[in-house]
Amino acid sequence: MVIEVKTLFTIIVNALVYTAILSLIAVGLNLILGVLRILNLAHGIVMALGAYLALSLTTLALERVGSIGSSLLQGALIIIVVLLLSGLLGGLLFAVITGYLMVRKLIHYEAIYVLLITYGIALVMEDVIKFIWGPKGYVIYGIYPLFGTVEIAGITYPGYYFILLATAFIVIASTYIFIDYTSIGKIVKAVASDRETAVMLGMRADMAYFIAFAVGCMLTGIGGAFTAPLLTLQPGFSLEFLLLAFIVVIITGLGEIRGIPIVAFIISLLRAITVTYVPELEMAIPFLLMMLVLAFRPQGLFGGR
Amino acid sequence: MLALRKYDIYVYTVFILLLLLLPIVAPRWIEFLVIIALVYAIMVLGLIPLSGLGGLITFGNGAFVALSAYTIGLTTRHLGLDSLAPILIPALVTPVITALLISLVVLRARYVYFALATVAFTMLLYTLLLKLYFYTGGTDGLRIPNLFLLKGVLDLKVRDRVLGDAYTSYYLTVVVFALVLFATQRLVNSSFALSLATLRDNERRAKMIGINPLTTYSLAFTYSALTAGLAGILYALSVGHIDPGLAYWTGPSAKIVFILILGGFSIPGCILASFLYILAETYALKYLSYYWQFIVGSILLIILLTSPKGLLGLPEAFIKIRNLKTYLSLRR
Repeated sequence: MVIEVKTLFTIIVNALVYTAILSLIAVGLNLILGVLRILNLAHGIVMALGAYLALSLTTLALERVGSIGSSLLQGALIIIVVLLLSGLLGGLLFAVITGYLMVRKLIHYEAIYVLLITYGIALVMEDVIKFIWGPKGYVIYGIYPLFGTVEIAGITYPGYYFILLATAFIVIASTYIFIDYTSIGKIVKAVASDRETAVMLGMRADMAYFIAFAVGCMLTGIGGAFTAPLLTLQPGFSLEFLLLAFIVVIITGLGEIRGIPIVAFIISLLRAITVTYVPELEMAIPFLLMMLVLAFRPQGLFGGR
Repeated sequence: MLALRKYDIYVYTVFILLLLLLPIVAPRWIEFLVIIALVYAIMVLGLIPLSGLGGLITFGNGAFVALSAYTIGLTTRHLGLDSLAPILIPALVTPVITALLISLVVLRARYVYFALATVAFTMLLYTLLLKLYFYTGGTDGLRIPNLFLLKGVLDLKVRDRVLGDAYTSYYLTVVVFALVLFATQRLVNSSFALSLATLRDNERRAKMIGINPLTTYSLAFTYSALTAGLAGILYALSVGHIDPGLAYWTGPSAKIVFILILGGFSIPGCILASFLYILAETYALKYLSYYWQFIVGSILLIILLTSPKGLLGLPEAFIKIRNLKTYLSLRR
């Protein structure tokens, strides 16, 4: 079988775009898991909140951009800022609404109860979103033209793809820097590894938990906001991403945020390849991988212990 | 409560007799709700040994429901069989064999990892059922024809109205429910249950006194798969239509874990919980079709957050909130 260069590039670009989205969601998910020990099934809702806020805010912004008659570059910059803001806002909104429950209560619950309670939250919040934005599907028009196109090996790709990649890279890199090199990040790490000692040294454990939770949510919110222009927004659209992010998290190792982009890329690449050649197996292969990793290396590929 | 436990078996017998007599007095629409509630009760009862005693929660029993249901669907569609009895054997053997094989893989993990591995398994099956649409019909699912019980010997169709104007499958469901109920009751009071409880409390110690974790857990897992298979058969026969949603992890798989926890892992609690859950879901769907998730989700949240013991623990939770002194003196 001869693989054409065109197909190869399409596969790689698609895989990269998917990697960017998945990494944003999975890093958020795994940060919460690592610090709070909570496997948050309501994480899809965070993504949806980011995406729906992006829908409302960009629609507003796009009207303004048109009316001022600003240049393309200005418009593009405004849209990027608006997308980032709506992602941050969506994540923060979720963190504020459920923060008390998560930080004060769920931390002490057994993992299975946490799964069920966060699933209950997901059910309730999904209907709240449906209540606000309605059950119909939305498409955000007018963002792609702002970013032009890029041509690789004879195929044109939307320039927005590369903005998405760059944003994901910057956001994830700054999260790593935040966790490793700032004092707040160090407090979060200290509380995560030994709560009692950290509290005795005068650190505010609940605050650290909330910060980790909020940062995780905001990452996912940004992921949702930047995914919004790529697809039709409808209730439950985030479930597919959530499932894949879960698979990425489990294969990487629960609570391990280091290897996520790599695993996300492997999963996305496998997905892109199967979509191109054997579309029947699109989701089957990630799940098979996840099952094998859970059975034979439950700590994950990157999880030490 | 303890005094009642002695008479459990009589209470259950009366309950089953009442269920058998129900179609004579009750209106027709109740019959269908009872079938669905019993199907769920069968699955939940089957989970009690593994999850209640063994402490391993699985989110993947929908896979076995789907396996059985699709075995019926595929054999009737592609082999053209039209009586139930010969199909029963493959429909029950498939989930059992699969469970035995899968348990070798998933039982290497414990606790949350086990739960996630079972999710992966059921989602794997879901995607296959969804995508191999040439055989399985994809999202459309399969229609289950109105099968004969055993053509030539018992010329009675599954969805024929018999005694008291109820489906044959209603009585079939009640009978299977009775069997599973008594089997589970027997299992819960057996030495097998004790070894499962020992494994839950301390696996290393259990190993030292000669309990093999793999065989014990995998038997419990297979029992849950067998009951899920039975439930799948009954569901397919009564509803007459199956779709891949059966294997989706938020389908029956997650619902039975909810019911199990609402029922507080006890047999009467779980039966009560499955009836109440089906009623709540049906009425939420009827009156608030767009927002039924909101109702179901908030009920679950309230119960899970206030009373970790489930529905039967709710009165206790309320009493705790009121802090009645009489409760403390009565408790002993």
